[in-house]
Amino acid sequence: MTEFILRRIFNGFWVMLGVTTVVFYLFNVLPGDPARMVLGKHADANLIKMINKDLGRDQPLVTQYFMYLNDLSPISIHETEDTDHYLYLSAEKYEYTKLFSVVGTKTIVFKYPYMRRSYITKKKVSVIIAEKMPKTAILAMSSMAVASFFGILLGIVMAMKKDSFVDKSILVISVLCMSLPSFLAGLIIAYLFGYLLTDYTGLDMQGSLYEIDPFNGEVLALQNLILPTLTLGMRPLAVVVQLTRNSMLEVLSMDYIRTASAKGLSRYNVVMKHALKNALNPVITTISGWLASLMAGAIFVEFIFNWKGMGLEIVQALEKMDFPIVIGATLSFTLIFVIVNILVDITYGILDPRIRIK
Amino acid sequence: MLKNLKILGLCAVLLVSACKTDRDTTSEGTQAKGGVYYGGVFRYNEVENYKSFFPLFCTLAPGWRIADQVYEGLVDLDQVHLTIKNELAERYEYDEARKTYTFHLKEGVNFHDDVCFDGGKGREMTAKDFKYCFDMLCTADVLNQGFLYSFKDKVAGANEYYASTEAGTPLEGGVSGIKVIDDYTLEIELNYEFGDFLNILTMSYCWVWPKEAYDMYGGAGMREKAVGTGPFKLKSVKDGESVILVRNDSYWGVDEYGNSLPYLDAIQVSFIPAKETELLEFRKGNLDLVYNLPNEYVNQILDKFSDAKDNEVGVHLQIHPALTVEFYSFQHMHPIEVFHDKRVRQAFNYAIDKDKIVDFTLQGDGIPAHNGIVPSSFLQYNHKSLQGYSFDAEKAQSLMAEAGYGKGGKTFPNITIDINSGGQDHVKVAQVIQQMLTDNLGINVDVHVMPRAQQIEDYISGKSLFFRDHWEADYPSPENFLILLYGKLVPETMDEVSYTNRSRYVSAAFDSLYEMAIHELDQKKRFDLYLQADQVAIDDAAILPIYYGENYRLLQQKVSNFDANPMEERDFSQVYFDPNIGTK
Repeated sequence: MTEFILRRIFNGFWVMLGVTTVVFYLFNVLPGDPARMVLGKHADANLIKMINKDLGRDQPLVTQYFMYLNDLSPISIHETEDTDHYLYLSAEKYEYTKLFSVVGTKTIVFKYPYMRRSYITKKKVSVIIAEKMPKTAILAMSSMAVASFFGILLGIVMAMKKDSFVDKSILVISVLCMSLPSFLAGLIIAYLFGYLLTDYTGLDMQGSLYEIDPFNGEVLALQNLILPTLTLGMRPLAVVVQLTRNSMLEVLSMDYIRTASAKGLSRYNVVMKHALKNALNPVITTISGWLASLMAGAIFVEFIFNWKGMGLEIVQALEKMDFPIVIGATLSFTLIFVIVNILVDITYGILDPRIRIK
Repeated sequence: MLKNLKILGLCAVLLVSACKTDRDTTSEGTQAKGGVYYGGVFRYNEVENYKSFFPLFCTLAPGWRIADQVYEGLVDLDQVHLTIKNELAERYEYDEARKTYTFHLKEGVNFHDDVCFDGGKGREMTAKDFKYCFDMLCTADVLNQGFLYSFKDKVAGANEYYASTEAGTPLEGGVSGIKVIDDYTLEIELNYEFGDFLNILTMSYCWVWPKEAYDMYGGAGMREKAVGTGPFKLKSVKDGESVILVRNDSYWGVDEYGNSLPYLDAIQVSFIPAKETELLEFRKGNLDLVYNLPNEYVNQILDKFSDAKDNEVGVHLQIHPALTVEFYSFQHMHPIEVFHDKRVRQAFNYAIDKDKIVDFTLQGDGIPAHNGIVPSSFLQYNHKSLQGYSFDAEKAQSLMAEAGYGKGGKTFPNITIDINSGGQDHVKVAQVIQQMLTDNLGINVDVHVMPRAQQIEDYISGKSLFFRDHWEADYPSPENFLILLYGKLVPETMDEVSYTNRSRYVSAAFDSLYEMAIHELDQKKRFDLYLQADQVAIDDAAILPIYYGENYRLLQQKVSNFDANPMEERDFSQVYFDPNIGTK
């Protein structure tokens, strides 16, 4: 089992490295000088040179790539004396513990991955991610929670009332939900509930998790979570509904269910205690796999609802060519994917020993 | 981390709808002498996040407009006329040659309380603080973007000090031309007489801030920490969501009736990126100000609000010319030599119907630019005396014929208009210009829309032959516009980039008038010289101006004493809410 886990982690590492490489090169070969973007109209050659040096952009791309990897890596090599050197071990950049010295003034350290600073605002990317990622996670999780709860509930209802009017109408609606792209659904939902019906719903088109009062500080505004959750949760909801329905129907047609009924158990007990547990297996697999992709899928939804999470941050950073944020965010999402996948694999491994052997 | 966990925990109860708090908890409407009122929270929105509050890195308007309420300089611009008024300087004088300025500072002005000070109590601001900040302004650093347009070349010893910091060996005593005479007296010596020097001192780079704050937070940290002497203190910053400024109770300012300033309890800035939502919030009464109204909304909004009954929310609409110019530039030194010929440039100027662009494409949002690069909004600048270009298709065609193009002559090469993406109007305007050039001059024009960074790269390196450009004043002087055409800023070869004079227009006559003007101390004479320089550039058809900006601003009716001006310079210390009008 340990070997299995290690192999999965090792594979995850290669995925991370691959994504880092692609993303790094992708954003560094795009035309346009970020230094000029930073300076706007107040540019001069000297300042541009200084900023590019500070960003390490005066080096060849390959060197820049390795310097970036060095910055990201928890164990890295740094210069301790030459303050002009890009790899200079400055406390402003790194939070580190020195491990041991190597040749000359070079030293190996153990540190938090340094994802650089925003070109435009000079704020640390790690701080930005720490501020924004939880909000995206909340949105993704609440969507998933809504999708699972209502999805399973409606799925059961549909299976119980197979081929009835209720079953068919839910089916039609769920197909609609599944095929509606989230950016369009977001606009429709925002306009309908946040604008046209705002007097009845009491909801705004846009808003954050916290509203800020000048004197009382942050006030939780959970109502702002409703519309984005609905938008983002719509597709998984539709999927979960159909999955539960089909899986439930399959289980309900099995012999042991008939036996349970024959024993004289109530319909409720048969469905909830005997059928549901078995029917939920494929549903749970889907839900766990979906959570990570929901976080990435939140980009459009956040943009439409002005939900101040990672997605909105990425869109705004792209507009300004603020690549450290874009790269940092992409890597964070990748890391989440990788970790979730490893966890899912491990769970499978525990449940089904055959997978481990493969 | 704990907070994040709390947030995550709250997920479970998301379906419980939360309550909304009552927003106004302040004593809005306490009357003071002179019929003004204390209290209230002023709310407005910025569609873009702020870049930084650190004075030397505070180059973008959203951050600057916020930080301007926290920090102060020696002098500032008057909100109504944009003339110079004293701020932290009690008074100032200069010698006859106007090369040495002596500033006498206000006594007893304290920095805001902050943990960077011993005991957290703000200490008194003195001339030494200005010396420190001005030395920092002349220090080479990636977080210092102010030097180029402020003290460079102008202040004695500034360039030398900058070079020394670049080399890593800062000169002892800082910038030699900036001297602390005593705690309340500061002397600044210039290299040459420069009529607009006081305007320079109104810029954000010249605000004063304590060394203690820099030592504690660093330049990057001062992005969201601001310790100044201004009427408002920075209370909280939620990046990209909200900034809250609260009243500085020990502010030195008093109004003409002896009431201590400011009147407002707080200012709350939100960051909603969509203008539509911002307007919706304004209509709901959640915002007190909307500015930069997009033209497509202006009429719609005016209609909606004019329908409003007397007892509903009323609004003020303020329309004001802005200190901005939208223009198209020719590359005067491009290897394709079409624009080397003055007649061709003039023909382009005659061929564009600027009135039509403003009336139809921009739906009236802007002022047609018939003259030069300097907008028409300077009070003492006799813009009307300039002789520019009005639409005249026949004249345009005959000039093209004179230059040898058209029937029986050379074929005019296909040209491309390089514009940046973003901002719908730019693209629309470019398409109209493309059409007008084709219709009126019979030439083939393409529009090439590219990312902003790419577009800048192309025009400063001289690759763009014909491109869109735009300028917004740093300080209210025609000089700040004319400098874009100053020939001595053009590098000798095309291999070097030209940052300021992007069109690489060089005219000996213009340069000498421009130089005479900046050294002229008498404002009337100075403005006359600027006018003459402007006229030289117009005669040469150095650029193709399209329109001068105009600002539309909506205020809730209760907002009083908040004048609009061409620079969107806001002095919230004088603003108050009149509870008797315009409340819901």
